[in-house]
Amino acid sequence: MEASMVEPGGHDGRKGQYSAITGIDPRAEWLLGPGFPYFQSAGPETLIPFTITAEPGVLARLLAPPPGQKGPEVLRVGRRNLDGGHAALLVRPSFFDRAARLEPGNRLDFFRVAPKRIQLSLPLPPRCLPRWEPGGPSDEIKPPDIGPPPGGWPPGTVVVGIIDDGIAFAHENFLATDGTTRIECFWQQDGDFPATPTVDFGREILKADIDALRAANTSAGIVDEDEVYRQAGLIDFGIPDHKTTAWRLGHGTHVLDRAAGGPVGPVLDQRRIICVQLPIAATAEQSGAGLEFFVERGIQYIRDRAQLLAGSGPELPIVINFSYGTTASSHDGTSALEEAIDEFVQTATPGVIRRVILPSGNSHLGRGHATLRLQGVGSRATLPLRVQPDDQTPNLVQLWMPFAGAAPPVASRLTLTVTSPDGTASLPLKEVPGAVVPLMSGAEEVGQASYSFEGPATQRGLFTIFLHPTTPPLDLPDGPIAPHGLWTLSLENTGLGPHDRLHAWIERDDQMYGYPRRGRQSYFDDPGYLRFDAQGRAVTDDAAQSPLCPVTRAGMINAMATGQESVVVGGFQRRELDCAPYSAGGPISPAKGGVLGPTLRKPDAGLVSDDSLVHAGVLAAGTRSGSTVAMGGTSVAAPRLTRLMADLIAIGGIGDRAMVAGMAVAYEAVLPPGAPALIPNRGGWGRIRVPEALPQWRRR
Amino acid sequence: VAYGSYDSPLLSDALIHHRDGVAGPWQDLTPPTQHPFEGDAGSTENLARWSPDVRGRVIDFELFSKIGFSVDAATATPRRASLWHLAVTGGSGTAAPTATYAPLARFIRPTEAIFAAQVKRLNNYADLRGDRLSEVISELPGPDAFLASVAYLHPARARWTLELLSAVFRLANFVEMRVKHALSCRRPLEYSPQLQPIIMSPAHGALPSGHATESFMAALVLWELLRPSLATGSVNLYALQLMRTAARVAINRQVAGVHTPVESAAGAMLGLTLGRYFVGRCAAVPLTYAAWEFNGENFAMTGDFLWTELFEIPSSTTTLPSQQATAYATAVTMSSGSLGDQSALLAWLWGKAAAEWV
Repeated sequence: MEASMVEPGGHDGRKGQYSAITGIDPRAEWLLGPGFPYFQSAGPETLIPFTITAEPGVLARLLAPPPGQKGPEVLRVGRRNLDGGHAALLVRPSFFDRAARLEPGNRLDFFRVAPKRIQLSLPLPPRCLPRWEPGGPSDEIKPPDIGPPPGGWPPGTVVVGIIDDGIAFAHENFLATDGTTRIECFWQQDGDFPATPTVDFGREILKADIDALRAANTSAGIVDEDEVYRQAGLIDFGIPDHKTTAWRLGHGTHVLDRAAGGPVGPVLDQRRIICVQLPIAATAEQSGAGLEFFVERGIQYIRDRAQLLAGSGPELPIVINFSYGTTASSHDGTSALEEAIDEFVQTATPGVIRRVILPSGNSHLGRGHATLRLQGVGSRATLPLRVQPDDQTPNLVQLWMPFAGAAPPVASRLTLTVTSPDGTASLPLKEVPGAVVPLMSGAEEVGQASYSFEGPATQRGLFTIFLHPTTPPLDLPDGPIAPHGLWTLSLENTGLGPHDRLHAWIERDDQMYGYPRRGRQSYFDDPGYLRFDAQGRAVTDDAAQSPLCPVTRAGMINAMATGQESVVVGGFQRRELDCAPYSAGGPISPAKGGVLGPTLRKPDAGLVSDDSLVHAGVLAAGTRSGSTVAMGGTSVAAPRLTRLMADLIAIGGIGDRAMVAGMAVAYEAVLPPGAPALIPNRGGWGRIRVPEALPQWRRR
Repeated sequence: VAYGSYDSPLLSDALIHHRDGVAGPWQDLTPPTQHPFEGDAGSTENLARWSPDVRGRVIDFELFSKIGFSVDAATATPRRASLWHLAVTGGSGTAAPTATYAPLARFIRPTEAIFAAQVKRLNNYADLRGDRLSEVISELPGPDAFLASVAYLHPARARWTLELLSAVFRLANFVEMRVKHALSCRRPLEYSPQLQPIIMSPAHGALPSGHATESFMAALVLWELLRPSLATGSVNLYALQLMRTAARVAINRQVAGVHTPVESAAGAMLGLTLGRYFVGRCAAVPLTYAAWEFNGENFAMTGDFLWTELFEIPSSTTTLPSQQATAYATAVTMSSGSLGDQSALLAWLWGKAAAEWV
């Protein structure tokens, strides 16, 4: 897609097409432009999901049918608040083209200029979506008829929410004493949209459905779980997507078993489960579009269903486990998803607990973070970016400017030039909101760099660099490719102070377990980065290398886990008590130029993610009843804390970050003598060691 | 070096020298009692004395000699490939036995459109390759180890059962190869260069799946062997686990990319039919059997292999599991289902195997 204007970026290249839309996602120039074909089955009919935060009046106007139409030209698929200031919407890509157009009488002028925040996400297949045409009516969504059991929920009932993938809902570890499932609701976000929908997209499976499926497929006392998932549409060999519940190890099954699984008993009977199964495409996502939209919708679904379950009785406390990680963001807690998590927790009715628990991420050694400080105006720095061959997905790098204060800077403080492996330098990109420059290799356009100012939540400038894949994706054999090799980001200081720091992060682009490998992770390949020590051991501490090296392990923490309210968990080895080598940590950046204090410490605590150095991972349920599998990563440390928090909240605990910090400090104090020292940036306030809840989880 | 082998000239030479030194002049003697016994064709007393490979050929003769085959003319619609049982009675002196061909199993080929749709579906099974690789490789020779993980099939304690199962596999193979040849269905990889199976596609026709035929036949026979030892009225757990094992083996061939679901379904139906037939042939008292027809044209384009469509396992052992009719698999109407004279040789081997489980 060609950018439409040359002004007003001056000689800094062209002005991006979509930057005319106030508050648009900084990735819009790419995702709606050169990056659009990387969406599955992308076309003019594709419905693009996005979240928007704006004045209620703006949303009301957007959601009103245009003259002569029966419905709006956006499809609303959820609301975060009842005040109407936030919405989740689907639109055709042409909507943004029209909104961005500066022409007389543009009906979307109000939308273009209104202050707002828009975050784009990746499209779902049409089979998952309501049948809808812009301007036409949309299906009525009726919430399911669910509520409390006769006599109400017993005291101590806690809703455990899980947002994940590969959740085997028919597993016996999620049954209650009465033999029925404790999974009350299950939202398959990429399920086939049904004739009588209860959710805005995908489909919902309720406890009654699960119990009926299990009963109907029981033979000789054993549930034919293959058949259950086939009938429920989770394993469909008619579609090419990865079938997470057909595999032996399901990420979400393992995580949920750790969080709320186990043999039936009175305590677990009080853990009622609400599941959100993210779209396969969102988990496999490597286009740079992100899965935040689906997570945010998932949190709201868990909130809404918990309210339905409570009925007219007392509200139920909610603990949500979200064991996913990404790497690129401002890392100051101001991303749209982090705001949504904070709001979910903070808007709970007083006295009702809501918590969200996340892993600190596994990218500690990923070489995806660089911190740069430029000495004086006119000084320069370079950052080498290694882009791997055979990468079928785009690569995304973010370069965040320091907090700008109340207003955006008037004059450009930094000039970025991107040089390809063959030495072709891009046009210089300055700090001019909306500026876009093509990235060239010889005469080929192989990517783009853009600048936007992220506000008002963040108030920081952002340089965004996108590169095309280094080998064509198989469905786009004639698409543009970027050369692999060493790219160079060259920075020239034109106005930054000596204490201003720049942070660069590379977005995650590696393979997920079980998924086909398409992406390959690029990394900052600085010669000063020390990967191995003289004995050949992996170096896990930045202190071993020169402080002049801009590329650090520090700050590789999960990009979705830097908010105020999220409780974040790092991983350590049960036997050695060492921080797991992959377990990422802070420091994070304080929001809006604040001071980095103890309450900003992330992660909050460490929990076991590996049984030992040689026994990688920890044990929990495989996808089929009766099976046990090992899985590692901070993904499995988080649900340990989720379980603990649910148990404590059930007996009156607060379960907030301060309580976790207090517990961590107490546990840290009783570690055996000779335990390795705590690494606060990665282990939080301390290592929490609790006995395995189930005997089958123990191993030597 | 074992005495009696042919690979030691030194030992043979030593035996010459030894005999010269030991035997002495020839003496007349009444020979000892006959070993083996002189017996008629139906005698079983010598069977245990033959080496296993020889015994296997005798058993094969009993089984194979009663199997017939026919195929319709190329112009027939539908065109069937038919297996027959040769029900034989009598025969003594110079009087020939009386023989009648009775149906055993029939096959109608799926259409090319069904195969093409099935291969497209098969492509989606490739997702599981990373999960099933060790099973796919380990099941290359057959399902033995996996059935042995359900029933305790150690050679030291189940030698006759293993011999019986060998006969099962040989009969399945003998029959399935003839049907595969008659139908000559192309392998999945011949429909698309993108399927790229992870094991070599064997050089024979694709339908019915040999792994499905052998696994289901062996599972059924093994369950019948175990049945007398299972508590009456208990849950049919052995039947269930054996059938699930057979299905898993068949599906793993789909994951590998060498069979489509319709081929697995055809193999499962053939295996279940042959299993019941085999049990009948091995019985000491006359039993009947049922013949089944597989109509590939009735298999849905997007159909999957679901073994529970073909075989029902009741919850209690008081009711016997049974084959189920579907759109693509139906029982053939037969006048008697009689097997003819029972084979004493087969009954002998069955008896030896059955004795290992009680």
